[in-house]
Amino acid sequence: MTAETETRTIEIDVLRYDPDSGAPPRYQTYKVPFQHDTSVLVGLQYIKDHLDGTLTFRWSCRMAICGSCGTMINGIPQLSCHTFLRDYWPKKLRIDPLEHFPIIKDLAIDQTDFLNKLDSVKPYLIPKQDKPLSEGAYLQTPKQMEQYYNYSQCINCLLCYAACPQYGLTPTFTGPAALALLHRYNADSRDVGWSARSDVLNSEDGVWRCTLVGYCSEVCPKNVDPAHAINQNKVNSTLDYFGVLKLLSTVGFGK
Amino acid sequence: MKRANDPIFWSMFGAGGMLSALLGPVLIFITGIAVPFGFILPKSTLSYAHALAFAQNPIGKLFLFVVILLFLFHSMHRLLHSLHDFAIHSPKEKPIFYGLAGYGTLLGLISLLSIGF
Amino acid sequence: MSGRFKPAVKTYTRPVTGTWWKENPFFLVYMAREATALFVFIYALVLLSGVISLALGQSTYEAWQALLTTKTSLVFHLVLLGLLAYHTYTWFKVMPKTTPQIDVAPQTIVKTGVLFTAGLSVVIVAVLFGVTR
Repeated sequence: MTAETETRTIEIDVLRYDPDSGAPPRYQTYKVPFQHDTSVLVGLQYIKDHLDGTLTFRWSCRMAICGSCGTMINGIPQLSCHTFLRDYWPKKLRIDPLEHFPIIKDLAIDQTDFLNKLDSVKPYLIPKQDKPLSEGAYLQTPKQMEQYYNYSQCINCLLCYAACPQYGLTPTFTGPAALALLHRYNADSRDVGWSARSDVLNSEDGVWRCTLVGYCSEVCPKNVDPAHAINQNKVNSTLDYFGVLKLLSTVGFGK
Repeated sequence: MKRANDPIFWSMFGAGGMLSALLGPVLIFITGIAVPFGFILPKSTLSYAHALAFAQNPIGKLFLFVVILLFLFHSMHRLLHSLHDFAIHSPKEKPIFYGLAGYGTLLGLISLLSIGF
Repeated sequence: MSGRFKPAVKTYTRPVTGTWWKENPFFLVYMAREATALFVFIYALVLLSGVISLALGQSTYEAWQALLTTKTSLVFHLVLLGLLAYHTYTWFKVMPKTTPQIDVAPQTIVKTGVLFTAGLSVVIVAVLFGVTR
């Protein structure tokens, strides 16, 4: 076993893109010293501080909660703060910006498309009626919370979009995280926003673009299950299409 | 935003997927392995007289029709999406794939009706 | 998608081709699952051809039956049986993603589905065995 303090060196290929030159992206190789506890993010920071100050990448919290440092590591979407160089040594490591997103510079991608999609699903509670603070909180049982809790853990890191071939093939697809968050609010007992969100959900670019590849749920660092959120809503969208959902609600099922 | 008509085809895809998961293997075993070779089941199980009686029975007729309909629509729906997976898109894809499933179903329906009751 | 957020002015978009699934084993398994549809389709055609030949009369039907007794047909059906059994497994494997939020372990759903199919198949063959004796 290697001692935890021993310093080794690993080669990292990083995809570089310079918007000023406009030349197609190319790989640049860096030799990075690391120890047992060096994350890929710290490796990138070493490059920026000691080898090449022009390298651009996003990061913030260093502890897998801000969702800023998502990259493709050897072709797999991962948080670079949550991945360790020791697991790749002595082989080389390849780092690409998140798949399917336009590159702004080096590892920084343009998230605009996702932000607009997130906006479109109305990711906030739509209560039946607003009540004044004096009336107290909206109450909820643990059982009711269980219905949406998993989906509320999303940190918008976009690994699921990089993992989704359907998003890559058809970029108009609303995509895993936005649809999981759409369901997160629909599944909340305090929310009555189904009809406000159904346009997005029922459209071709809503749940129907999904073919249940399921890789979104595999790569999620917070164990959110977007594939489950989307595919149970294919059932809901179908029930809605044939008018069954309306029928169920008039006889008192659902919300 | 345009509402998708996918619920119609997805329902048949789902029903066909379920039916073929439950009955596909045993149907293949019966019609393609056991009966033709007299293995476990006698060869006469699907003799002309027996097959005709089965197809003339309303329940037998409905069963054959539903299996053909759902197996065809299940597979055509999935193959259509595989086309997308190979990055092939065409405005004619839906008429072609679902049309083929519909054509096969129609042939089955006409045959079953002409067999009589 | 258009919206209140405007995209960066100058970006580089990497192309997506029809070969994306070749690089990741997870995607290969997905493509294998989707490919089962081809074999469901093929069996639907076998059944359809049987029904059509039955409608065309005894001699056509018996010619169809004769085709099924060839060695080629046996190998073909054995392969088809294996592939449809794989379809059964993959169908129940993804089923937990389609159910509502319930308190059942995904593995339980998969196991129940596969065991139920196996049981149902045995029952169907046993009943046929009984009535054809």
